[in-house]
Amino acid sequence: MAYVPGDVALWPNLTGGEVIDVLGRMRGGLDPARRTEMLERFELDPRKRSRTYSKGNRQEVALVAALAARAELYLFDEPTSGLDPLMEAEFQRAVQELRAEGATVLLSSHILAEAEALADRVSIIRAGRVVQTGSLTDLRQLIRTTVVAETDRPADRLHEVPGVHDPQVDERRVVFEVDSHHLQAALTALTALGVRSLTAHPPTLEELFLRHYGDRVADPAS
Amino acid sequence: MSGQTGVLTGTWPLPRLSLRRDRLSLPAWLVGLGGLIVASATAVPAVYDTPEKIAGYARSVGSSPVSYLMSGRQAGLDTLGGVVANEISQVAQLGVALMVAFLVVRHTRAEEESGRAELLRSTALGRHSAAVVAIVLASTAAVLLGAVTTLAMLAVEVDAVGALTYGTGLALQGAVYAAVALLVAQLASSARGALGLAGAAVGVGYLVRGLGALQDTALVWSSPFGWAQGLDAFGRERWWPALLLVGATAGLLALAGWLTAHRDHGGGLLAARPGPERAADRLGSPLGLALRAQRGLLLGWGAGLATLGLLYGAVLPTLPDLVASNPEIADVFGGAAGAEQALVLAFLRYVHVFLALLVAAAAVASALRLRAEEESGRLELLLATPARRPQVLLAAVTVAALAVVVLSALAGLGLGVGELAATPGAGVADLGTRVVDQLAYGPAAAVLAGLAVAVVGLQPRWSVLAWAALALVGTQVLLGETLRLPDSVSAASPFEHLPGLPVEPFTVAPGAVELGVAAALVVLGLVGLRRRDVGG
Repeated sequence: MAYVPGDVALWPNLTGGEVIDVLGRMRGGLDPARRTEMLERFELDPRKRSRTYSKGNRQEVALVAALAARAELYLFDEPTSGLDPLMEAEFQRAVQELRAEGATVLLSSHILAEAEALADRVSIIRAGRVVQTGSLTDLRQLIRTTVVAETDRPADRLHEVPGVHDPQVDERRVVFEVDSHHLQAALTALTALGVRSLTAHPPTLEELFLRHYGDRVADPAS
Repeated sequence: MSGQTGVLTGTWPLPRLSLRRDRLSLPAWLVGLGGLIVASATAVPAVYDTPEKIAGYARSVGSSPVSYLMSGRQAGLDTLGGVVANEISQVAQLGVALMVAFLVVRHTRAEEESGRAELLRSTALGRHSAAVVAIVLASTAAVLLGAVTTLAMLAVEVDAVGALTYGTGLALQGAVYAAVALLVAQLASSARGALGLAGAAVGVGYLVRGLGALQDTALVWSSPFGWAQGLDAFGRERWWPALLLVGATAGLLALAGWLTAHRDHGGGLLAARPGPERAADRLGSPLGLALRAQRGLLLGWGAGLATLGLLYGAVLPTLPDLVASNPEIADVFGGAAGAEQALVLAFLRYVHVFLALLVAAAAVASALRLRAEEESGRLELLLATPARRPQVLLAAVTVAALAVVVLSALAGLGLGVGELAATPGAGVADLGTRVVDQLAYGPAAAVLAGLAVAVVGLQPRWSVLAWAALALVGTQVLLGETLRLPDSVSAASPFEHLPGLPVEPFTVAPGAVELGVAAALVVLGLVGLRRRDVGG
């Protein structure tokens, strides 16, 4: 197992390179080629003493130590806090590679875009309990899709379709939410009115998250 | 933007912030150091209460090379004032220099390193403001300490002009080292580096003055310690060496100011040296890591203990003379005046116990590093590897045990070498005895370190208990006789049960029992650490 804590503290009188080696060896050895590659990708100077590193640098030391180890399970706790956007992108690339190699990655993050980009399965934890878990697709099933459409005839009878919630009709433009498993019925009703344009967006992880953390789901249409 | 930001803009609100931050550490320095000076100064008249005893002091100490090395050539040793000045000189002169060095670095380089200075500099604050505030603060502290020293001297009714001269010298010497600290804070890029350089400057100044005094050469005039002593308090009292102190302060401040203006904020003139890119093979285990992380700490303790032992060893041959001139000195370490050999042995026991107490302090500090590892989150990082808790705890225990053995041996070695060098007729066998005797006091240090391990394992928030126990034992050992502590309190001290080498003969049992107690405490710590959550 390789682990990167959210707030990385290192041994102040060791250099970054030494910390990487120590952690790697204690995990049962690290891959020297990968070590060199990761150091280059994260643009880290391994000869500096840990006490002189910035927060982002310390984070990178822990990341390089973890990524250069050949582990079955990688545990990242808020790994990109303190990283600049370039390094953040580099981290995402590295995680994709690990995934492709078949390793398991457990990522805890408040940056939902990061989780959305990287995760196969998502669990939402609130007050120490898992309140929702599943693949992103599964989770999306549980929430409404927002549909914006322009139709030839006003969609004034749309509220009769089951699963459709508060359609807002403004002349020929309609905005409504629909339970994901009733999408078919709603679209059938729409096409009957003659669709000119249609945009539908599935719930973002952020909306899922707010549903569990906020008192109610923020209205995506507003 | 309207208005200009000068180099000193915003200097006035800053001292209030600095004083607020120092509301504990500044009084602690002044009370601690001042108290020590007052206590030493006011204790002198009781010991040297007749003109004969003072004359005896002048004869023995006034011709002792060790005293020259440690306190320089103090004038007026045949007066009470001279004796007081000579007795407090080490604590006062070294103390004031170290105090201002800590204060200045704390308010300049340490602030810059932490990034707090950057936050302040983003307000309307001039470039030199922080430096000016630090210097004013440190100089004020030095002047206060000089005043306390003068008042303490006046309290024991010494010559008033002499007391004033001595206090002034002390304050001015403090100002010089405050300027030195400000200069090195511009050179080094880390607070530790700056403190190291400032400490080295203090150490070099002290040693150079000592060597100059020993050889009675002009070398003393190359050290601020020598300039302050050059004021000749309780002797001729001359004021021109004060010009050297003031001039040096002004010159160093100007140089530091020029450097501040010509460097980047956060940068130092001496770049931090790059370290190794790869870790050495021995680093790949909790033990290797613990050894490496504490290397600097242990080296520092080792050098300090060896030097201290060396000084005590060098004093040994002057002891009979000193006590002959003033029998009450023997009371301090519980030796009976009379038989010369018994006196030396009693002094040796006192030194052994004192050094062992310092070894115990180092071992407790080493054991408590485990707590620091946990608090910082580094322990978490380590435990996420296959390393297990008992392994990490035992690595810390091994380092602490190693500290007890190696530091005891170094302290004993210093003592033996000092004795060998200063005593005609001392043999290498004596050196061996000193090392072995010092090691025989090791089990007491082991018990105290074991207690620290147990506390960290069971209830880390109470780790201050380990220091409290050390303080209690220290009080019992050093002042037990004077304070007349009840036997039940004395019995709690592990030193009380060990054979009082070299006065008493060696027995194995007490030491073995104490090592057993230490091992049991470690087991307690192990059980505690396995049962509780890590990182609390």
